[in-house]
Amino acid sequence: MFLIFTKIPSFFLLGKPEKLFFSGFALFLCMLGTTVSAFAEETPPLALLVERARALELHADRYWHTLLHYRTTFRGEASLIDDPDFFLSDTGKHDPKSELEATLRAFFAQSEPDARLVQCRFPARFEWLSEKLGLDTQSMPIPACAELMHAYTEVDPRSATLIFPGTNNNSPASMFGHTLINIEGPYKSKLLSYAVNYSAFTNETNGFAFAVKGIFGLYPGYFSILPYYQKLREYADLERRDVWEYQLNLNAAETRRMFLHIWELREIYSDYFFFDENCAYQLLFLLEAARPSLHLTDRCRPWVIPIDTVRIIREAGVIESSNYRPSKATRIVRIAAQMSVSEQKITLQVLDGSLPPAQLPHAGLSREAQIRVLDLATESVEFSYFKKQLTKKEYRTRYLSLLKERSFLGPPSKEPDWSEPQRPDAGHGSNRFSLGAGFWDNRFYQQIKIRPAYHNLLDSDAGYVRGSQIDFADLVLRYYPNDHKVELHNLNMIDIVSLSPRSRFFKPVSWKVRTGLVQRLFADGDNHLVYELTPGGGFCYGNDWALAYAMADAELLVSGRFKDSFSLGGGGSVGTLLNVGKRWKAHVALRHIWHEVGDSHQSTRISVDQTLITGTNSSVILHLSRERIFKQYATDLSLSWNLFW
Amino acid sequence: MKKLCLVFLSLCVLVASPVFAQQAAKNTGCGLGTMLWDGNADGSVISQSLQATTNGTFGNQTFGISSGTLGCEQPANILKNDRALAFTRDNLDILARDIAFGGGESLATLAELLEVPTAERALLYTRLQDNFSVIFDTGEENYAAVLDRIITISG
Repeated sequence: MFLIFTKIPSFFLLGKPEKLFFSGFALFLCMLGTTVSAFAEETPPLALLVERARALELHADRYWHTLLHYRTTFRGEASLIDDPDFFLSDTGKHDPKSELEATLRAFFAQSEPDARLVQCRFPARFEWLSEKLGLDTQSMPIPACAELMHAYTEVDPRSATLIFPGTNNNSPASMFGHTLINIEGPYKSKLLSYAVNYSAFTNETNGFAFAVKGIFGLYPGYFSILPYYQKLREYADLERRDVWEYQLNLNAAETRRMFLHIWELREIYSDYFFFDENCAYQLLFLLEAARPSLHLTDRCRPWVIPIDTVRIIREAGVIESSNYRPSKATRIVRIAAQMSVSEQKITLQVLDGSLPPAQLPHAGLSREAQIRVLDLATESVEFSYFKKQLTKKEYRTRYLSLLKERSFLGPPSKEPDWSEPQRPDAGHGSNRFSLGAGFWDNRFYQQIKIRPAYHNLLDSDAGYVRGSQIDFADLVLRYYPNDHKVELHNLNMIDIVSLSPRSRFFKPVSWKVRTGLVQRLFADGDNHLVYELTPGGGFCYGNDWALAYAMADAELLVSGRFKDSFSLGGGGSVGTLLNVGKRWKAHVALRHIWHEVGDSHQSTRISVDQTLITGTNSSVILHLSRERIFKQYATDLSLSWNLFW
Repeated sequence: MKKLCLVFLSLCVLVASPVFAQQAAKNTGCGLGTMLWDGNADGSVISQSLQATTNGTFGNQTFGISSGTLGCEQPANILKNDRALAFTRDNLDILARDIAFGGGESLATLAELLEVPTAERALLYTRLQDNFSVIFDTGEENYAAVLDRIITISG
C-alpha cells in the first residue's frame, strides 16, 4: 500500500565512498553477527528453543512487551498495534506467549529462505531472542537483508534527538505540540538526520470529519522516516511552530537497536487516537526499545500530551541539552524587532512592489539597514508563497530580485536576537488543581477546580505562547455552606482563545470558542445551569507587556428555563491582557450580548482577573466580576490557589 | 584525486551546458519554489490546522530513506554524489538564500556533503555570494545545473 523505497540509487560519496560504505556495512554485519553457515545443523530444534523460552519466561519479559507494544489495560493485555501483519500468531495482539512461540517457529523452524524473510522483517526481535536463548550469533545465518541493509547504511544511526515542534498560537490544535525522533548519522549538520514520526495518514479534507475521526481513532497511524529538513519545512515554515531539539544521550548501540525496531514498524498501522495513542506515546516505545532499562510508557496518564512525554524523558535522564529553532514567523518578528519604523516601512514598499529591490541602495539606508530590509523581505516573500498568496512565477521573480540585491551587500548583518525563550518542558504542568473561596451575590462558597489540560490566559506564560489558551474539561464545583448545597458551577468542555497581535507584517485574526455547561443568572435572581456555545473573532494588538483585543461574539444558550428552551444572540467583547513583570498578570474584559432569537434579553459582564505567579507550578488568582442579565445583577469575588503538575 | 574530479566536472559542465538549457526548458517543474510544497497539503488555514490536529501527513510517503533524485530529471552523470544532489533538489530555495546571504545552515550542510574543509568554507561562501547571479540566473534552473555551477565556482 505504501511506497517503501522510492528508488534505490547507487550510493557513493565524493571522496571516500568505499570507505564509508564498507565501514557501515562491516559494522552492520558484525553487529548482526553475520557469517553464513549451515542453517539447520547449528540451530537447536524448535522444541528445545520453545522449552528454553518458557523456562526463562521470555514472553513475560519487559523487553518483549516493549518490542510488541503490549500494554495492560482494564480489558487485559493487548498490543497498541492493530495491524495483523505485525504479529506472527493469529492471537498475537492479545497473547505475548503465543506470539513469542510463533515468532520462534518462524525464525528457526521453516525453510531457510522463508525464515530469512521473517528475520529481515523483525530484526530487533530476532537479535533479542537469539541473545536470550543463548544462540551463538556468530554462527547464525543472518540473511543478507538487502532492503534493511540499504536503509541502515543510508541512515547510519549513531545518535538521536527528540524533536518538539511547539505551538503556533493561532492554530490551537497545534498547542499540544508534537514529538518526533531524529536519528543522526555521521554528519555534523542536523539537517541530514532522519526524522522518525508517528502520525495519522489521511487525505481527508472535510474538517469536521477529520477532527471526529482523529479523536476516535478512525485513521490509521503509521510510522514514517523522512529527511529532517522536510519535517522542518513542514513545522517551522508552514505551520509556524518554533522547534526545540533535545539531544538524547543514547549511544550508537542503543540508537542502532532503536533503528532496528523502527524497521519492524515499517508499513504497520495502529489506530491513531488524538488523546492517548498519539505520536507522543508511540515514540516512548522507541526509546524503551533503544534502552531497555527505561520505563517510560508506564509513567503515562490516560491522556498523553507531547510536552508531558518530553518531561518524562527528561526526568528519566535521557535529555542532554536543548537547541532552539525559531519558525519563519518568529524570524520575521525578531528581524522586524531590530528595525526602525522607517526601515519597516521601506520593507513594506519593497514587498508591495512600489520600491524595486534594485532601487534600495538609493533609499538612503546604511548597508546594515539594507541587509535587514532584504532579509525581512525575503522571509516575507517565502511566507506569502507558503500561504499561496503568490504564484510560483511571482514568487520566483521577487525572491530572485531580492536575493540578487542581497548578494551585492557582502557578509551577514548583525544577527537578530535568536535567543531561546523558556523551554516548553520548563513551563507549568498541564494539569491544574485549584482550591478557592469567595462570594457570589453575598453568598459564601468554597470551590474546587480540576482541569486536565492545558493552559489558560491567566496561567504563567513561561514555556507557552502568550495570548493562547486551550482548556479541556475544566470542571468547577462549588459548595455553599449556608445552603448546604453542592453545585456544578462550570464544565467547560473546550475553551480556546487565540490572541495573535497584528503588526505591519502579520495580520492574523484572533478568535475564541467555548462550549460546555455553565451556571447563569436568570430572571429569578438565581443561578441555573445552561449549555453554552460562544464563538468569537476579531483583532488583537499588543507589545511585550499588553495585548488588547476586540472581538465580535455570538452566543447560543440552551436550557429548559428559557422561553423556547434557547436563546441566541450576538454582541462583542473587548479586553486587555497585561503582563506586569514576571509574576503578575491581569485580564480586564467587558462583554455585551443582545439575545434576539429565542428568549430575548441582554447580558453584560465586566471582569477583572489577576494572577500572582508564585512558582513554576503554583499561582494565586483573584477574580472579580459583575454581570447584569435579565435586569438582575450579580457580583462574584473569589480567591483561588492553583497547583499544576 | 579531488582536483581531478573537479576538473572533470567542470569539463562536463561545459559540455553539458546546452543539454541543461534544453532540460530546463522542458523541465519547468525543477526551479525555485518547486519543492517547498512537496509532501504537504495546500496552504489553506483549514488544512494547516488539521494537519496539526493529528499531525496528519497528507499523501502516503512513509519510509523516505533514499537519496534518490526523483521528481526532476537526473543530470547526465555529472556527479556521483546522490546525497548532495538530493539535498540541493530539496533545498534549492533556502540554498539560494544562504548563497545570497553569504552563509547559513543549509549552505554549510551542502559544503559538508561536498567535503569542503571547514577552513575553506568562508572563502567558498564569499565566492558563491559574488556569483549569485551566475548560479541563479532565471530561477528556473534545474537543481543539478545549480549544483554543477556551485562546484565549478568552488573549484
